[in-house]
Amino acid sequence: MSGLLGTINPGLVLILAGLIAGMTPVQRVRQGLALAAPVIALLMLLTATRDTDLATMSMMGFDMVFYRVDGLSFIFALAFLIAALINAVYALHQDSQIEDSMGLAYMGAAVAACFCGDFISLFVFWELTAVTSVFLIFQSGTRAAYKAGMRYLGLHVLSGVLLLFGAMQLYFATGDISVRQLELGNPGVLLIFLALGIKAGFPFLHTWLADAYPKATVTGTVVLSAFTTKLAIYALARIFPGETSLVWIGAIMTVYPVFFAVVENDLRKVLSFSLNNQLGFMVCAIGIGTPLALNGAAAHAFSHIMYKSLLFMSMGAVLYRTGTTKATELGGLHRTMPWTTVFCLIGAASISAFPLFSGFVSKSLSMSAVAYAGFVIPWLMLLFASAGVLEHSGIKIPYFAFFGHDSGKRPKEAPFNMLLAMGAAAFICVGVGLPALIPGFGFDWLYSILPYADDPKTMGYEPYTADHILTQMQLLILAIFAFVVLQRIGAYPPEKRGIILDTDILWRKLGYGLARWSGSVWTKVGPTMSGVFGSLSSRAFRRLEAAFSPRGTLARGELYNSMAVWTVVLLGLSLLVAFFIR
Amino acid sequence: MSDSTKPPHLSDHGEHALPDDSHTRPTAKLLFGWTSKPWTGRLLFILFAVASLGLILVEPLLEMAAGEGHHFRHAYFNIDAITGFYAWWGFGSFALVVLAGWPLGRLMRREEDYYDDESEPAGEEPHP
Repeated sequence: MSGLLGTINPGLVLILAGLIAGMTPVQRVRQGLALAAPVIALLMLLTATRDTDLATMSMMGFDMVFYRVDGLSFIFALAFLIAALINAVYALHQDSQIEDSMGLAYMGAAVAACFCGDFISLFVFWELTAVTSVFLIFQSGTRAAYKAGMRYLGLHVLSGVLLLFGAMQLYFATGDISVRQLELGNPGVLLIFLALGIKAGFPFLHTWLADAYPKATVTGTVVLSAFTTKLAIYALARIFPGETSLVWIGAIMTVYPVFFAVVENDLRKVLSFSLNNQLGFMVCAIGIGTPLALNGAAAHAFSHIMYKSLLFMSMGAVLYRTGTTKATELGGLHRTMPWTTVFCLIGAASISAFPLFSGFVSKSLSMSAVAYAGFVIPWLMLLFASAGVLEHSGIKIPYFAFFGHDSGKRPKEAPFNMLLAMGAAAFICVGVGLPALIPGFGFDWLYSILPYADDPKTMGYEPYTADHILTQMQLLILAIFAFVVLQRIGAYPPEKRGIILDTDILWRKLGYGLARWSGSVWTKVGPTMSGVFGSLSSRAFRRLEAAFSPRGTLARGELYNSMAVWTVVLLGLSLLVAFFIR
Repeated sequence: MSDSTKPPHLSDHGEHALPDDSHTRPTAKLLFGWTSKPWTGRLLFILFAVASLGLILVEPLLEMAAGEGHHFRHAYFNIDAITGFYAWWGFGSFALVVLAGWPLGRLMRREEDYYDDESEPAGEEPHP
């Protein structure tokens, strides 16, 4: 596409639509915007010229690239835009101005970030994804959602600041601000690595994911699940391919969420852990860094966005109809929600990588790449995690929600628009997983849009060999057999109400506790200190507490009327200050 | 909240009152009606036992059928060349994960209001 239109980053279309939606009280107009924007952006993406800088600018001596399409950004942006369209259909029943506008801006920011060729514009969209998406969590309107949203925002703003500082450090060391492959060593590169690690849910930096996602709104969680973490995967594949430490980080990421998921009661939280586990497969493949492995990561990201959205949509439908996703309160819903059950089972089969479903053709690329590179322990860990995925996403989610012990709940089937969106996602999950009976059909289509589609190993890769089908079926059927056996002898742990501790206990208990303790010490010690300083500082502390504590001014009234907005404004201001002072 | 309570499925093997099916939709009866029958559990157990055994046993047969000098399986390492390796690994991993749920639940599960702010429901009114 030539002319001015060809130089516009497709993500900006969605951001603009989000801006307009934010000022439009008419629901029909916002629905039109949400449906039209991804379609227009898709057309722009499909007609874009590849591998050239389509929009550039020089500002304050930085060479910025706003729009550049290549194989890697293409497949991620394509998956994002398809997800955006499906999400728009899924959200048709709801009338929420702020959620529509923030959702659109968030999706647009993630798409736009894929095309950025320099760290400054990447940083802008990176932060934009954080400050827009947090409203999808706040919109739940509960205190728990609000606090989880603040923790989410804190970590993500930190991720953005680390990214910017790292990039600046790197710029002053090398004079180059472009997004390119980097090697760990320079402290700036380490900061960038950490920034991506927070968003990608590396071990110990992962807590925001399972903390915030299950507390977002019905539609909000579906939107959140597709973009933030996959943007980080994209950035890792762009900046750190072949970084060997990622192999181990990824393998560990696949294993530990499995254990959290088995004891968790909230099914949307189980899906969040499962999301974390799936990211591990991609991170591991990026660590291998061969064209086959990077193709595997990209293919896995594409199918993952589809089946994970599908699973979150089905649990969203359950939440919408019954008001809960706790396993202890669900069960037997297949009686009145048969179509939601069918779609959930398709998502479950896809994520478990059954033959004929998308997970089978995408995960095997990464698995083979890890094995070819000779990493036997990580490979065994990934294989262990594959059985774990089957446990929590393949069996636990559908079994406890739709089958299992009858809860006596008889809700209506999901609204038609939700079923339509789930059907579309299910169609992609099956369509991408089918054998290539004719060239360009089934998995062949997915393989043809991979970033290194002309890599000989990928071109010669055939997932549907008798060997591969047999071994995969052995893994899955024997794992299901283990479930049946354990269930019959009563060794399967029953679902229980309760929450599961995670490493975020460090700041949620000890951190808050320390702050409270130091506060009380300060108020006692402060006044007794002689001179003006003592009384002044204690008064300052009381003022601060009056403003910021949960009993204070900013928390009064509607939760996100004042405090949320002010915190976002303050964080934004501090970022601007940090940016320009440096 | 102790972990020693009887799991719900053990107290209801189908010999007690069957679930109320008066609201069940026809599609659901057609697709999933079989899942709430009293014999479902035993049937699934037998089906999966047979399928598992078949999948393991078919491997040496296919290996023999591949003929002299050829291999049906293309193993990456030594460990996965063992007959039925994926089957053992899948069964073992799954059992380990599930059984780990008992001690882990005891160790890491807390009351829902442990963090003061978690006690509220997810914040969605049902739309039945």
